[in-house]
Amino acid sequence: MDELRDTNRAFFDKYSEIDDSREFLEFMAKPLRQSFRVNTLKAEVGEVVERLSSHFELEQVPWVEEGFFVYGEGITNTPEFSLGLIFMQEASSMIPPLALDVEPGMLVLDMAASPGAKTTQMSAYMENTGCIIANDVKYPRINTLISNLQKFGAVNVRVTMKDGRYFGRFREKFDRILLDAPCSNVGMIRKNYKYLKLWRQRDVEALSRLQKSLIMAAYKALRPGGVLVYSTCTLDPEENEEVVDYLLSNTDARLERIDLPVKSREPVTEFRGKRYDEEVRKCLRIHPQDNDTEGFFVAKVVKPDE
Amino acid sequence: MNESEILETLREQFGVESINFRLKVMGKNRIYAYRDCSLDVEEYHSGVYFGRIERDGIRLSIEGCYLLADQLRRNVVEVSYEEMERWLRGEDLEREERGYVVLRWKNYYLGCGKGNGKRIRNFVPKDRRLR
Repeated sequence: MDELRDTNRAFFDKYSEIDDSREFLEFMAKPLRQSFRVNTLKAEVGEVVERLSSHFELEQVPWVEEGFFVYGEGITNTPEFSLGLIFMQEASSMIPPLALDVEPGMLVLDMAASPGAKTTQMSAYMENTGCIIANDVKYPRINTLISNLQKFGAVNVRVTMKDGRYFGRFREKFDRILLDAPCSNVGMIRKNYKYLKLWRQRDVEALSRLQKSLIMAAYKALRPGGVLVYSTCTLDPEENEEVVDYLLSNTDARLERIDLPVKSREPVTEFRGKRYDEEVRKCLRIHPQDNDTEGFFVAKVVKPDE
Repeated sequence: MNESEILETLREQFGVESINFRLKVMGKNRIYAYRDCSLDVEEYHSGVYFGRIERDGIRLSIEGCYLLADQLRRNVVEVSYEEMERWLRGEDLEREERGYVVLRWKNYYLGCGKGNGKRIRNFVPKDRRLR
């Protein structure tokens, strides 16, 4: 805990307003459990789990049928990893594709797709049919994305390299849109302390402005009756509830509850003098101690049918 | 080679009857598998590396084998668990098959090798090998 405070005092002070519990700080300082998802495009979950169970202790991720926590060293040196039958992915980041309710044959936009964990998860749920536009703005991240799509065997994906706001021009085109927004990565501090060192309130505010413009573009591109999932791996209200509140204030968007067996807490409805729409209570705000995962935020937005 | 010529070669080599995805050749000899998309957008990349056109046939990638898994009727070599581990470490296997073959352990497809009557030559890419 002292390490957290000493590494970034401004972070520590702000987060005492968001979650001042001892558990929060304890879990922020604790390394993440490893988890993977079975690639159902290539293999049966039961077959892979049976084989791996002879070498590793596995524990089902409660909210994802094909997701497992894994204990023990060496999971990335197995035939299953080598052949692309499993994909390493943090358990909380498996939630947004589940909330999106994709179906085979749909046209889907993954607005900030790299490194592609959620893209491949959606590809599996779509049974490798339809079309996913997997976009990212940064060149080095695109290569990681392509490499992961390759290993997964996802043939229903087109990779684009655009500023996400570009997609606003595709008015009411997409059946589903995932905006897993660029964020201050507080949830990832458990993975790497560099995210704690990098955190700045000024960046949070700049990211919040970017996220608001991205979510507006995403909403424009969503067809009536379509679903948009907004997610981040951070816990700053400015990047989460405030962004959703901005969308609700400026469009006819509605929120839906996400019905999954995942522990979460009451979203923030007021922060530093700003009050947010009561509807944001329908979002999932997950702190690291809730499920022993990364911190995460997920909102499920529906565009009313005309 | 165009799409129908590739399919004809796959039929001869592996008994493949039909495929439910598209194929395109990029560069001189690299085949990619993809699906058509209803959205007209400038793309940076699409398709999964499916295999390579060689002088004497098509050498499938690991993903190419999985995409054809339900269609492979011949030139599939079953291996033991120990052989799978050796293969995925990059070793050749002692077998009498000739030409391009797909290796399989249970339902795990291990990619394509080339037999010369004595051994099957390994093509598992270095970044996919077991350490």
